[in-house]
Amino acid sequence: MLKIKRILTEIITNLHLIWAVARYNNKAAFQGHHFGMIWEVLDPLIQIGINFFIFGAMRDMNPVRVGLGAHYVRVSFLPWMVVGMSAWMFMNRVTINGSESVQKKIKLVSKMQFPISILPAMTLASRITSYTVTTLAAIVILAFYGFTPHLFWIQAIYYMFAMFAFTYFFALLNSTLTILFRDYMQILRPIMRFMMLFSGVIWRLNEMTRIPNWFVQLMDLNPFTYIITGFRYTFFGQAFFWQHWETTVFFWLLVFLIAMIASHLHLKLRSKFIDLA
Amino acid sequence: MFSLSKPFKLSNEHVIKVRCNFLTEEIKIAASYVTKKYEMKKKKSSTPEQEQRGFWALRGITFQVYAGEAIGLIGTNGSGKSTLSNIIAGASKPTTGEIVINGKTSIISINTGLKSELTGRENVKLKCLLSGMTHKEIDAVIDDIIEFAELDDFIDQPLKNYSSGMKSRLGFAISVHNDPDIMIIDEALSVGDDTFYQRCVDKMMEFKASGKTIFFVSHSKTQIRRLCDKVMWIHEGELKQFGPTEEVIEAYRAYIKWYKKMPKIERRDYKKALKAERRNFDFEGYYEAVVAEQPGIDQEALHQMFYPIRVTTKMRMGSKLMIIVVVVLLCVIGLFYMTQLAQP
Repeated sequence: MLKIKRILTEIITNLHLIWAVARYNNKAAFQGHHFGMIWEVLDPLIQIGINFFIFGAMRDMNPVRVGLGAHYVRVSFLPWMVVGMSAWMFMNRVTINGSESVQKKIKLVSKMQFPISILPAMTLASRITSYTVTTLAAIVILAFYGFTPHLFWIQAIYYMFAMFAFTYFFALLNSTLTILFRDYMQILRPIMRFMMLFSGVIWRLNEMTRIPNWFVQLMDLNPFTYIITGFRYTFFGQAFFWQHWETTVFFWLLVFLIAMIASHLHLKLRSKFIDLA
Repeated sequence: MFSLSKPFKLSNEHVIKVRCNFLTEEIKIAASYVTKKYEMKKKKSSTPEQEQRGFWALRGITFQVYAGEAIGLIGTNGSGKSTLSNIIAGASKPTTGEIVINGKTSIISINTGLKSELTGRENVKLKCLLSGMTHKEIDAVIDDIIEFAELDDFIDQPLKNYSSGMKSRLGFAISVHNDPDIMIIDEALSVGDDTFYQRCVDKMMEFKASGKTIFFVSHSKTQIRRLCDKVMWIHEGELKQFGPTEEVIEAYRAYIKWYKKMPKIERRDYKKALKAERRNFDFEGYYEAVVAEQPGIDQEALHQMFYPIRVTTKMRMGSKLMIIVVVVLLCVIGLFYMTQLAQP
């Protein structure tokens, strides 16, 4: 517990640094491009477009069922997919880039003096712009399909908080493990690809008849699914987070577990990173 | 004269007896029996027996440095200068021994933290932030930095349009304005032309006068003469000599001369023997020699320094229990959820 607190304190005291570095990184990424910062907006939109084309336009797009229990609503594929995809793109990039962040910047950290634990936070901060763009796109698309802004949408803030907490601690854990075993990244990448297919981003697992029931239910428990379905429940006005308390409790217990292990390992091995990397 | 000395021969010069009148009595850095071992693994996965074959980059360094001193660090390539400066900066930890640092250190590294796509001004802000300065502090010094670097209009150009000299000047200007107590300059003053170099030296002298301590790693004897009061000569991982600038530089020069006069074959054997010494450093022997030389020393404390009980940050019992409880709860809830859902 104390260790988690310490990590959080380090982040909070360095928020200005995290934000500034994330901003500078984003600026540097598109420097020299003819369209410059416009790509920050265009790039995520193009990705969504491509994904929609591949997974939506090329198949039978039956409206998808969103709902908990007896009360549900049928939603067209595009808005359904975009809501999930925007959260997924953020989580995917933060996990992969955040996990590599420590290893890539280890020289920088040893020469400068700031706590290493903020590196995954910098990755997270740098993806927030792209996430905002995709969420706004989702809101616009939702409006076209008749889902107007509603007070219920405030629940999105809860899911965003949950998303940040999970991705940060997961990235912190992975970044430490990667330094110990370089191979870990090679395992993490395919796992993330697997997650994209099985976390309900592009199709509902229940509709895949080949997959055994117990596996579908197991995947329901996975944290990525929790966030994505949570956002869908929110934007389509279906359920409060306490209405599916089992998955909520499971999710937060899991985040807590990951946070405890990540903080412990990170703080214990921090001084050895420079020699190990 | 320079025969293969026993690896654990301690020199007496490390205890400074002479103090200049402008020094305060405050010890800034105190190193005691510092060693640093690097593992020499042939493959990533090697057996523990193979791991025993390490390379001792530092074989017992002991010294004290007071505030306001400018210390030069000289030695042949591979002697351990950079390892020592990294340890002093806090970037890496010694394998055994103790190092006490009384103040904020900063390595003046020119190229770290700079992004070539951003402009000079943005890089100044970025690097200052990375060094731990707040926005307010940065605004206070940014004009000084720009002026010191002498870049004029180029400050608003992206860094990739700079010449290497300009980049180095900018990096140096930023690092120098960080205001640490202890500055470590690892061969960074070898950039820029003479006018810039003069200003660097002036700035260093300013720092000295205001009580800051400077560590200057360099191969250039002229630079060291100009800047440093004392010089540390690190030879093959040992502190060969530590004393007033002229003395040590002369001794070093004599060594180089002697080395150059050696015929090639002898040189090769000499180097091989030195490397072997460092690989097969007799750590136990070192410990015993230290005990023998100073019989009045606190045996307990010394032992702790040499054979540190790895105070691993183990998880407390409470945390371990908590984790077990959480894992159990996870399994319970997971199973409950899965059995509960009968329909899709």
